[in-house]
Amino acid sequence: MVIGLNLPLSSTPMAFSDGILEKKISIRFENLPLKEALYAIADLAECSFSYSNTLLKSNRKVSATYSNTPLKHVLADLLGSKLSAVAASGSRILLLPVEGYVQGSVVVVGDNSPLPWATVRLEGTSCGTATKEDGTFELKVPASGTWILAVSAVGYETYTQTIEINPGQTLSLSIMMQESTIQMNEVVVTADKATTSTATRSHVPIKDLPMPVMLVEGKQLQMMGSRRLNEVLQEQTGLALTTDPSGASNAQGLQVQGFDASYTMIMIDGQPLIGRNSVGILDLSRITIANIERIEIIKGTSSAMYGSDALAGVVNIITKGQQSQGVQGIATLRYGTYNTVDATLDGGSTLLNDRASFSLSTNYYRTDGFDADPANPGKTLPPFHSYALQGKFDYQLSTSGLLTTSVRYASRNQRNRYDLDRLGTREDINIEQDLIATGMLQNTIGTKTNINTQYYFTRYHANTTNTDVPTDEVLNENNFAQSFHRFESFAHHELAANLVLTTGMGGNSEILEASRYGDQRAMHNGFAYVQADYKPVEKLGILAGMRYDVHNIYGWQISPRLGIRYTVNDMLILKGSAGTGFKAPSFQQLYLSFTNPSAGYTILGAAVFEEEVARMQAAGEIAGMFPLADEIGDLEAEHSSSFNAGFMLTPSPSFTLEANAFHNNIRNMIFEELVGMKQNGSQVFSYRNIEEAFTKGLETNIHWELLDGLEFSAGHQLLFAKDKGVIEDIKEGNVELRTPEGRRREAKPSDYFNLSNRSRHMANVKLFYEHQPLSISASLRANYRGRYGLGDRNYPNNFIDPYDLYVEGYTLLNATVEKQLFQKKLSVQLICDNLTNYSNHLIPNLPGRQFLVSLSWRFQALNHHKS
Amino acid sequence: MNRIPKVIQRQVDAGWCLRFILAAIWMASFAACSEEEEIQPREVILTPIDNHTSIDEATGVIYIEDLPGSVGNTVASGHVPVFFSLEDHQIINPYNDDSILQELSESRKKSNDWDLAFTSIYNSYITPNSGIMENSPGYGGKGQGAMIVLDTLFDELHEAPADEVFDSFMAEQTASGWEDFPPGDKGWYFYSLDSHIMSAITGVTIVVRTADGKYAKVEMKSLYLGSPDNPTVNTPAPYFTFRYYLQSDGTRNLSTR
Repeated sequence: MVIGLNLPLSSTPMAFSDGILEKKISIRFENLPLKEALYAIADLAECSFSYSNTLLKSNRKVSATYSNTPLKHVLADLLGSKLSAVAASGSRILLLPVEGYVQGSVVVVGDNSPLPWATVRLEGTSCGTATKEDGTFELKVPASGTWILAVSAVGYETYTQTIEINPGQTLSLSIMMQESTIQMNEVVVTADKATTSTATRSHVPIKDLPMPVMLVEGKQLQMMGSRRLNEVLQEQTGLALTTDPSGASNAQGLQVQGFDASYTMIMIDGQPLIGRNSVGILDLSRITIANIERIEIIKGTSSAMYGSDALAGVVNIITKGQQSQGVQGIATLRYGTYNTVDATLDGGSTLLNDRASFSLSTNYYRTDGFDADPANPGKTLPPFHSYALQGKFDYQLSTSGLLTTSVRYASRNQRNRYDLDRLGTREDINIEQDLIATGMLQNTIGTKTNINTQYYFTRYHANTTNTDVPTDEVLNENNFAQSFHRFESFAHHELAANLVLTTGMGGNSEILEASRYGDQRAMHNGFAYVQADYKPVEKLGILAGMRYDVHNIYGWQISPRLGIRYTVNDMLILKGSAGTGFKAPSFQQLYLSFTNPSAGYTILGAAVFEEEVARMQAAGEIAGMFPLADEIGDLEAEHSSSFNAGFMLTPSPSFTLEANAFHNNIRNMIFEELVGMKQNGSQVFSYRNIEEAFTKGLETNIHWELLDGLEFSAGHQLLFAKDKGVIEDIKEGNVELRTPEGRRREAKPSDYFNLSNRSRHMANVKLFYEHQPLSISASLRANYRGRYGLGDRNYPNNFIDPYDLYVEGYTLLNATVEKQLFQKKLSVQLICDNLTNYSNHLIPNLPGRQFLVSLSWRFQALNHHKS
Repeated sequence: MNRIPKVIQRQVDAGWCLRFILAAIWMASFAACSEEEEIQPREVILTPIDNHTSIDEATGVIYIEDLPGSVGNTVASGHVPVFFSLEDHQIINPYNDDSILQELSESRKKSNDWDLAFTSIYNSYITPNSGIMENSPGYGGKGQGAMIVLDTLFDELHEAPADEVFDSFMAEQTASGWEDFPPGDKGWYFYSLDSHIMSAITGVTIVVRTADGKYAKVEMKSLYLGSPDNPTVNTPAPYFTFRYYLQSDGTRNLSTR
């Protein structure tokens, strides 16, 4: 698959083979800047060039004459030693500059004789060379960073080594090749560095994308020593964890750009997870990060690609698959505070002459939980144990066809036992199961079209019981089973060298069987989308997309998106994007029929409202309905418009500054409203489209490689998130507030802090250090979350005023140290989360200080490589 | 911020100390001063009367803390209405052998032995003892009770309003609980649909005419055990925490300065 600007994942070492490169041209330059010379060639040869800015850094002037010369020779001559590789995809030519060199010699173990004609290449790229007769080689490396160097030769085991290339560096290696014996090596999984597939569904370098994208990669994940997804995400700039304010569940959701957790889609390998609780939170602590390769976070609406629920953004968790030839795996065991156990066994192998591969990942996790609020019954983070199992199987059907299948099963069993005043001991048990199955067929047609057809199925089941322990009587039971089917097909087509079109269509079917939702409920949804990735000139990239969704309940939606990226010069890239998003009414908002057993009130979904009220009236349960009840009826989807604008500044290769300003408007927000009164004196609620809100702010990130192996990064988000209706009411002088003493006064606009749970400031500072010679690495991370309001305290005015209940700002410190032993096969890591043991009864999801020890063993057995 | 009265404790047994530290915190939140009224910081001395009751002898204000209501119940099982005498500062309901509060007999409901009934969900609706008001448990008895819910600070309410004001208020609503529920009713607390927690509205004072026709003022604080700033749905309730002042001479003077 060769789409966009990705490095072709071809195993062919050299790339001077594609048609356009053989094209013969005649051209003459005289004292022309190199960049302009390339433009002239592009015009003449009807091709386009993609290159890193470092390639033309000097932009020296060239004088040369070529007559009937193949393009590849022209390029090699013009760019000379600065060029590490050339790759062509249709009429687009990718020029990879030289950032550094690897030189060395390859000898045979035992007699130390030089090994000629061995292939030396960087995995995942087309950069390669062969050793000379004396066994030496010199390889040009196109970008600094971590690479996997692979050396192979007929009759010898393939040798791989992770190398770190810094700009301008020349790395010298002595490589020993073994005959027919098994050799252990490290496997590192960052070959696909700095590209994302989530934003556009094709691999695109992040710097080329117009929208804000964040990547947490395998190496960083490992250095952080985190176990669950919530732990990783809360350390990223602008992301905050939120909990169910009722405390009824301890689910931890994700706030993105100030949006509630229900507005962000959580995906595994590009497919949405389901199973949200009653306030729309998909619990991130459900998800182990044991087999995660990287996490991609797209901020701002992505409805143009993913439809409903991607209104605020998308978090895509990319799981690991089989990385290279042979048998490989990793076993990890972590143990620490709160009897936390995290055990992982991952393995995989290539099969059928490397045409197929499979991988299997298993994880067991348990914890005793934590109680941030000992004054109240029950633990705020209850004990649980969890299993996860994932299998992947890939099969190369032909040179143009790839079949990918994957099955994932995860379960979690949570128990919270507590004493209720005079009611005795109670136990809440929550058992959840996730099943995911997916099959995907990728076909390449010709050189310009790639078709991807997939079927995805997922089912989430939760059983929640509240039991009186002495009598074993189940006082309350709730069953929730949700199934989701998706069939989708999309294609990338290269219409011209600078225009890639993505079109897709498909259908979803969602079925719910739950005790609070009456009968089986179903929703069906069809969709089609189109996206154009257009580069009219090399400096300018335009990404435009549109999606059409049609739904059996809320009608149809159109979600457009437009993004522009402009590369001003080597140092500065400007980005801007705008789009609209939507969120369909949830099953709960439509179909819920729930009477709270302890408080007596009833909540009815809008779609079942009339029939349920009629039933309750017939049963004599209703004392009276308010006029508002007449307005309950069809719910519309919630809508947002989202704007992002920012820049990326790279004054030196070791320093990057990124800033993004965002503004999101959301209309038609669905809220609960009081619509009637029951005979027992309690309330009837239902759902209406009422609120309008905005979130706006500025996110800033810097990344700085201070020294060799020492990386520093820092991030900050400034956020304003408010309800427009409240602002209007305050301006009109209709809103009162009260001091803790009970004094009343009219609210002023400046009294409005933010929506609840939104901090004005959030920030983080991280240091990652790696000492290669000693195989020691360490990280120290500080995460600050500014003051945020929780809810009304003195008076129910429905906004956070200065006298409401606040959580004061706090900083969490996390640190890890890791030492690798035995040729990096064994790794010992010490992890300390929340070093200062900060705890606050108002933050139920924050555990106290945790120490963990992690032991990890990598194993690899390389198959005999047949060249 | 505001000047907070310094709280001095009498030397009592150790168990009381903790209780009064809580009381001190509690009182700090009642403490107030206004621009127009110059209130001198005052030492509040609490003298215990019984396990749940103490008195500020300087003013005669009674402080009730964590007094169990119809505890151990849910909405499904229902809450037994609790009858409280302001004069005797205690609940008059009978208790069974397990110290569980029992229903008050119909005859005593119609007596003048109580002044405030805490009824409905978690004993959260307050009703006076009125012999003439149909919705009062004292209906048919001799109680002269009535009430008015005012947005006035407890310490700044110096006089009970005229009887016509009581009458017109009672014509609109006969109990006070959840603010604006039923719609239009003046409540003393609000319930958050997000957190499912009830919180007292600050600056609300309930002026009460007792069964015997005396005047009192009441300020509710919490129905949760220990009055925590963040109760959860599992925090034990209902446990009454409130303070009140009863003018025993029968006048309307409710000044507690």
